Amino acid sequence: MRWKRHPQTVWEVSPDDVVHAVRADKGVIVALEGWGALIWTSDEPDVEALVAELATITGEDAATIDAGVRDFLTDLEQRGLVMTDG
Amino acid sequence: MSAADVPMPTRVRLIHGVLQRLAEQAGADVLHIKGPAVAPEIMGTSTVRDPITHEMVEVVNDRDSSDADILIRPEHVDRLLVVMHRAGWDFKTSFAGSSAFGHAMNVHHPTMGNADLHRHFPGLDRKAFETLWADRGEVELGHVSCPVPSVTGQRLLLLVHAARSGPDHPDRDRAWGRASEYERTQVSALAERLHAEVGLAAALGNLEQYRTHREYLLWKSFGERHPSRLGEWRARWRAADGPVEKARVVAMLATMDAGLLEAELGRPPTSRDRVKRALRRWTTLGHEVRALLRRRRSR
Repeated sequence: MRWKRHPQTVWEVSPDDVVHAVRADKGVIVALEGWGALIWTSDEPDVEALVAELATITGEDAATIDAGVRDFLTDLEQRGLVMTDG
Repeated sequence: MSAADVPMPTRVRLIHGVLQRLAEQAGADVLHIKGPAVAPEIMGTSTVRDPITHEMVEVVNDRDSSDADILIRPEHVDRLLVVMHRAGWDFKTSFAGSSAFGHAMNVHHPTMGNADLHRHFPGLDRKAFETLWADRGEVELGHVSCPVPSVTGQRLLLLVHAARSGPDHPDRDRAWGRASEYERTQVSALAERLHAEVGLAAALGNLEQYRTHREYLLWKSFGERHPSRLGEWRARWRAADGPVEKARVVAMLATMDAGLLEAELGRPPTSRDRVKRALRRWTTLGHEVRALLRRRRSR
C-alpha cells in the first residue's frame, strides 16, 4: 500500500513538535503528536518500507507497527487528509 | 480541535495556506501580505533547532500576527467569497462597512480563526494589484506555495500601512531603516508608479512636502497619536477624489455597519447596542463640532 498527503491538505509543524493538518475545504484541524507526527513528516510513500523504518528506529515488532500505521492512515483518509491506494 | 489550541504563528500560517488553496479552487489571484508572508530580507532571521530533525536552522523572525492578510485581484473577489462561504467562512463585516476606505473585510472560520481580505490597499492606486502581481514572488506557508509581492512591493505595503498605524510603528525600521540605498530607490520608484508617494512620505516623516495635496490631512491624521474623529472625517472628505468618492464618504459617515459592531462585541448586536453605538459616534462628533465652532468664534 502507498500513501500521500491530499493535495488540499495544509499543514505545519509547531515549535512543540506537533503537526497541525487541515483540509482547506473542510477546516477541521487535526493535531498529530509522537508517532503520528513521525509518520506524517516521513517522506516514505510505501507503507511496508515505512513500517520497516519505524521498526528499526523503535525496536518494536513490525507486525504490530504495521497494523497501527494502517489504522492511522485509514483514519486520516476518512478525514480527507491523505490518499491511499490500499 | 479549535483555533485556540493551535499556537498563533502556526495557525496564521495554516490560514494563509488554506486561503491559497481556496483561491486556487475559485480561480482567484491573491497575494499574501504582512505577517508570515513578509520576506526574510525585511524581517531578519534567527537560528533555532528544527523540531523534527533537531538540526540548527535559520527561521524568519515572527511578526506577531493574529490573522492572515491577503490582497485579492479586485475582479476576483466575488468568486473567492463564494468558495470561502462554501468552506465555512463567516463574513464578519462587509467591505463598505469595515473602514471608511472600504478596502478590506474581516472573515472568520470557527475552527481556523480570522483573516483580512483586501480588495485594494489604502494609499496605493486602486489598480496596484496588476503591478504587484506582475512582479510577484512565492513563499511557502502551510506547505503551500503562496504568491507574495516582490520584496520591494512588500516594503512599500508595510511602509504605507505603518503610516496608517500611528507613530513609531516597527515596520518603518524593518522596511526602510534597514534597507540599502538601492532598495530605498526601488521603493520610491514603485511608490511613484502606484501613486503612493504621499503615503510613503507620511511613513518616512516627509509629509510636509505634500502640504497642498488633497491626501495631506488624511495621512497627517493617521500619524497622530490621538487623532480626533472629526479631523479624520474632514481629512477623508478632502482626500476623496470627485463627487462619487465624496458621496461615499458621506454615506459611510451616516451609516453604521452591524457586522463591524458584531466583530467588536463578539456577538450579534441587539437593537440597544446599535442605538448606543450610533449615539456614541454622533455624540463624539457633536462635541468636536461644538469645540471647533467655539474656536472659530473666539478668533
